[in-house]
Amino acid sequence: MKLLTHNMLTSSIIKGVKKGFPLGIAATDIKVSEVDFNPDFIKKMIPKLEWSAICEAAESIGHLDGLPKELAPDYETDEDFLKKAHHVIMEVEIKEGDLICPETGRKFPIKNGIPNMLLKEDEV
Amino acid sequence: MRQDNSSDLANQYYDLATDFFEYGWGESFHFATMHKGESFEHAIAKHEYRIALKLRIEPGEKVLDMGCGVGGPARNIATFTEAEITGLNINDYQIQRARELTKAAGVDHLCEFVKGDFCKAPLESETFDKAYAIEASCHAADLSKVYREAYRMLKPGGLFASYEWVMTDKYDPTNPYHKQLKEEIMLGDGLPDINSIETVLHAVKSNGFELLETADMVEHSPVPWYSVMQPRWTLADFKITPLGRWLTHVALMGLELVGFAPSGSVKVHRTLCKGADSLVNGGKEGVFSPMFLVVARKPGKPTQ
Ligand SMILES: C[S@@+](CC[C@H](N)C(=O)[O-])C[C@H]1O[C@@H](n2cnc3c(N)ncnc32)[C@H](O)[C@@H]1O
Repeated sequence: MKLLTHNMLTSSIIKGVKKGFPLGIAATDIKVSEVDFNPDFIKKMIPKLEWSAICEAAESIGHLDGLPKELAPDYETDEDFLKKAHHVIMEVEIKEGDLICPETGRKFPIKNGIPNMLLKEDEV
Repeated sequence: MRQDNSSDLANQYYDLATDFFEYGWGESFHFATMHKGESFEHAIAKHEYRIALKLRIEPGEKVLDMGCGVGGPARNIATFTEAEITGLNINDYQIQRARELTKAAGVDHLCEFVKGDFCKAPLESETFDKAYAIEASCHAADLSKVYREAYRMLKPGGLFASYEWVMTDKYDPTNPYHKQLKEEIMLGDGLPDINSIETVLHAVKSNGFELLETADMVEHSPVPWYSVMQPRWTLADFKITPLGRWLTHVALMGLELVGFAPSGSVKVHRTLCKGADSLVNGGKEGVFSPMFLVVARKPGKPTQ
């Protein structure tokens, strides 16, 4: 699971949970692999993201890797920034670990890169 | 709870059926409109591109695939459009398979997968530019929940498209043969019910969507969609011809006896064959369609 996907997951499916976002991450296996840099794609993607949640998540797994926490107004023309953003949202992948509901502490296991967000009957 | 039963039903069905589908059908688990001389693979891909066309998917958009199977459509639409696709599926076996196949195809930078229920999706509201469901919403006990969730997760101005399984207006519930066909399809394909077109349209509108288009794509298929399940004699189609099915069945029985095929394979295979036959019969009678296309829009001004 990439941070791009983490950025849209919520635990608000749990009964009583209001926001459930962003989920905490306890990663036990992180893989960084090279992905072709496509500046147009990243430029389009950035405004669709909760930027603070991206930075918070990246930092919590030790992969902020120099990414600025504030979006500069001219980020679209800042190649260095776009490359760092590309790295953090596309190249860092959580293979094993847990996602954690910020309100209840309920853990959602990540197995083989796939977060399991299914709840038991009595949790919904 | 009825809801959970329908999830279980789908899960049990797909745990057993996935390998058979991949073997006999490929990586996309749906039907397609067919034209003369068109290959099956081409028809399947075209059916998926139609979704991309109706949704007007652009590069870099965020797109949700509700009930993504092993990800055949998601990979195909992602490489076609260069959009970022999230596949949601309740079935563990399929979703693991989806990821493996996506890695192998080298499109994991465009497709990611989340295990979850599309009737109660673990995804943020107003997140996706576009969303679609291909022959998947039929598994929901309450179709309205699928539309409610699609609506919630779409951004204002976002589009949703679905190929729905429906009993057409030719279906007459007082006709015993029609009733039998419907029940056989439900049983053979692990479904809680099959919706009428009216139920589908109600789910669209009652959840706030603006209906843009409906079309029973069966009427746009000069070669019947179910002909892929009827006897043909090319080698590639062999597995789904009656003789091929029977031989597969016998072969599986042998493998199961000596312990190579998982026990229950034969039973699943028989169920699938029966499911296939009931679909053909429902299609021939004109009372059933697996491709009632719905295109709908969430009102509002598009945002980023
Ligand atoms: C006929 S298959 C179609 C798969 C895929 N759309 C395709 O065309 O290849 C239906 C899919 O819906 C999934 N499904 C059924 N109920 C679901 C639910 N409640 N939540 C998420 N996925 C579900 C099944 O696991 C299966 O992958």
